[in-house]
Amino acid sequence: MEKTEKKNSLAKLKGMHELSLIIIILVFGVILSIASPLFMTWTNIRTVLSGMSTDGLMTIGMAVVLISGGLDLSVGSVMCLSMVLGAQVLLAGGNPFMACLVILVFVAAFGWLQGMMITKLNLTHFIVTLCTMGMARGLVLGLTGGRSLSLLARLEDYPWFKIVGQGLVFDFLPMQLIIFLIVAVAMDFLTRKSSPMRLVFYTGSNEKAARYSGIRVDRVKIAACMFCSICAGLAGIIYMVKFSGCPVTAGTGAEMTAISSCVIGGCSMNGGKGTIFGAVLGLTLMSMVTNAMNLLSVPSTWQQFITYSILLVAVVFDVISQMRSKKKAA
Amino acid sequence: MADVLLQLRGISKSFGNNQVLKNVNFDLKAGEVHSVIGENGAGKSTMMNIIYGLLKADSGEIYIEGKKADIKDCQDAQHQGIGFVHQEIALCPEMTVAQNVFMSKINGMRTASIDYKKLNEEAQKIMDSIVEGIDASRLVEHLSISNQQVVEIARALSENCKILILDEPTASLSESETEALFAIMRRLKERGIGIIYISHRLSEIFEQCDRVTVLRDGEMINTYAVKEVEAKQLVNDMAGREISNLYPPKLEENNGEVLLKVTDLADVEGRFRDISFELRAGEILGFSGLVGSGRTEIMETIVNLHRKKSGTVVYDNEELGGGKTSDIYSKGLVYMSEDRKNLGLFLDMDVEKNVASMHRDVFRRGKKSVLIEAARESDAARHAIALLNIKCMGKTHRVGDLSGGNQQKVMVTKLFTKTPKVVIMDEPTRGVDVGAKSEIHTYLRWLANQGMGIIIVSSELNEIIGMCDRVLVMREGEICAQATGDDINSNYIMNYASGAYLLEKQAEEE
Repeated sequence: MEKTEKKNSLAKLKGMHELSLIIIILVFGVILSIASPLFMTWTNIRTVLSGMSTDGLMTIGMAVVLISGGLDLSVGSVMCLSMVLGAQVLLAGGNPFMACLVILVFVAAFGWLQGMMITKLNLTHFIVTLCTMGMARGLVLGLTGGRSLSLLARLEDYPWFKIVGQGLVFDFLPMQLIIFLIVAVAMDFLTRKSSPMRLVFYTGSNEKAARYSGIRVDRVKIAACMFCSICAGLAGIIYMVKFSGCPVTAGTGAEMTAISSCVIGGCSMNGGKGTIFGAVLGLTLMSMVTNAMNLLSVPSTWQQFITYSILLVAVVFDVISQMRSKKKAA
Repeated sequence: MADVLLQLRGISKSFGNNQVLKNVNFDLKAGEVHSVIGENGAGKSTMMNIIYGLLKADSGEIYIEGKKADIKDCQDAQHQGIGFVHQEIALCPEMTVAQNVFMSKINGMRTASIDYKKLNEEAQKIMDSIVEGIDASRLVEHLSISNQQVVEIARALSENCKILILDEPTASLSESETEALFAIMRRLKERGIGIIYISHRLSEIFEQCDRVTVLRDGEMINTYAVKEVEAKQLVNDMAGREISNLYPPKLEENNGEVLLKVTDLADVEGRFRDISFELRAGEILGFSGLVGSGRTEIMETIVNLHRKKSGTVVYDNEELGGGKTSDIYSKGLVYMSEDRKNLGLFLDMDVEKNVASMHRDVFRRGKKSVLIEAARESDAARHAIALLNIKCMGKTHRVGDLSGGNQQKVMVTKLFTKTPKVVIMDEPTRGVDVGAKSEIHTYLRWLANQGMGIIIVSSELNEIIGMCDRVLVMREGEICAQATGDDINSNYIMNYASGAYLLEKQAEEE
């Protein structure tokens, strides 16, 4: 009996999407460290990791929305807009607490509004978030007049707040990375084990059946939207402190990075499938690719093409391996 | 002897190590209806897919009209005169009848423009040859399910079809629609078309078929002329064992307390009105009636999936106002939908998560905890698999990969992870084979004997007659009759369900 159980867990690990991703990342890492001596230095790795934390928070939020059967194109713009609002509060003399409070309340309300439109008006995630993406970015430009805001002077007054985006714990671990990892680990655990996250899976897998099982799917979908926007807001706080201000282009294309990472990490665009761990691994792979191109001095004009080619290859590879395992099962 | 249209000789097929067809022989004559029966997973679908070119046999030969045939794919099968009407309707709802009928022809056309007028006329001809009164230029989505099925048949016939495969065509039809389909089948027979007919309903086979072939575990057990065989023989052949009683014995008398009392219930859309009934502990109450008579809507309204307009529902001496569906479920009044693929199951998920999907509070670590106790879930799944003998590779088997009957069993078990008091089951055994059906029926009767109240909604008269202690007959959104004891028979029920009693009344008055 015990033996079969053991066998099962081994088979489960083998079948897990995450394992193949880890192997790919390791192999890629080895190749990279041979190709470029700079890769395996702590400075480089730290740069990659801290670069990941804002995108990572949005990836976590995106994973939850994707699992619920939705999509959120607005994360990058919402992050930028929340930064602008937070910066305005600071510039107007508010303290960091007030700024963070304003940001979090705003993004929660923003997510709620998106969710309400999606559920009560029966609009698709794509349409609603496409519009809100444009609107949020437009508001950024309108409110700032297209000029980036600088918080350099203001942040000098609050050195403790600067730690959030610029500090190092024990002089080597970036604080932002720790914040991201805490959220990631907590959400991964909750995704696997908690009842509310299970509701998100049921809703994404088959919304109607979920309703017939007594799940209030509207609430679940709204909550998923809110969670995703809140993640964007958290990323905004870190980003704002990290750059001591807010560039009006902050978060451009972040939604694509987040979606790509989730898909590479095993989330289904049809909902009901995915893990936070997988999505984070997907983002790791994406970040490594970008880093590799920088280290190997690939011209920046070609980087986008290469990144998305790799995304396509990853997705095709995944589909083929899934077909194979299905054939085996049959 | 009539011409032999189709012969299968020594057909075998395996998927991996799993041999699903073993040396099957079969033949179909012109102008006959030949039924193929067997439990879920007996190999019927595989056999039909081989005939239709969707699968390749590992060994064996197929002859069409005496000539050895090599069927490459389904388009090739259509050219060779084979038509297949699948169990589930696969039409394009936003297109017209004619466009659907000639789908494969349009697909083969290499012209830039299509003469839709001509297409409509030709489609109309084919439609009229089957049944009058369906306009070929109408959109398919505006047709009833049974008329959509006629379109499917027309599509199969559009390519000079000689061999027609019907896979459980009556599964989603009401009694009267079924009658209409049988009339069509008789007409096709006269035209010399051979029909392979797959169904789980034995009564249909005895009414409509000429011969019947029984498959069990991929082997051909026997072929009988329908006139020379008894139902019991077929059931035993299919099951490979004696099934002595198709239905468990009924209750002698019932003095249980009233568990559910519905008074003057009506819904907002007006699909039913003035619904009043009681359900007692230990009783199995049947809801019969034609498809669309409002039965499903009543049940969905009772558990608050739809809003009611007026009336009261009293469960366990407590009125259920506008409560949440999940609260009603956790109080012990549960409902199982008739539509397992869309409303009942999470096909992408495994058995375990499906079993745990209804009473989610049972699986929490504590009342206030948000975490799930994994061990409790796997116990429930294992228990469910053992209880109804679900054939799967364990609790992590993806439900979408199970056969229809086993999917149905998974859906049934999810109601019972927490002991309910009142169970409402809409089509409890849809698409399930004889063996599994009797397992589900026996389980339901056992539950009733434990003191539960059970409501069965079913389009299958035999199920209603065999299972229920009391039957309410629905017609056009109202309860028009109640049957108990010896009145529970097909004549009595159909008389009311079809509205024939109204005609009699009229005749008397005149």
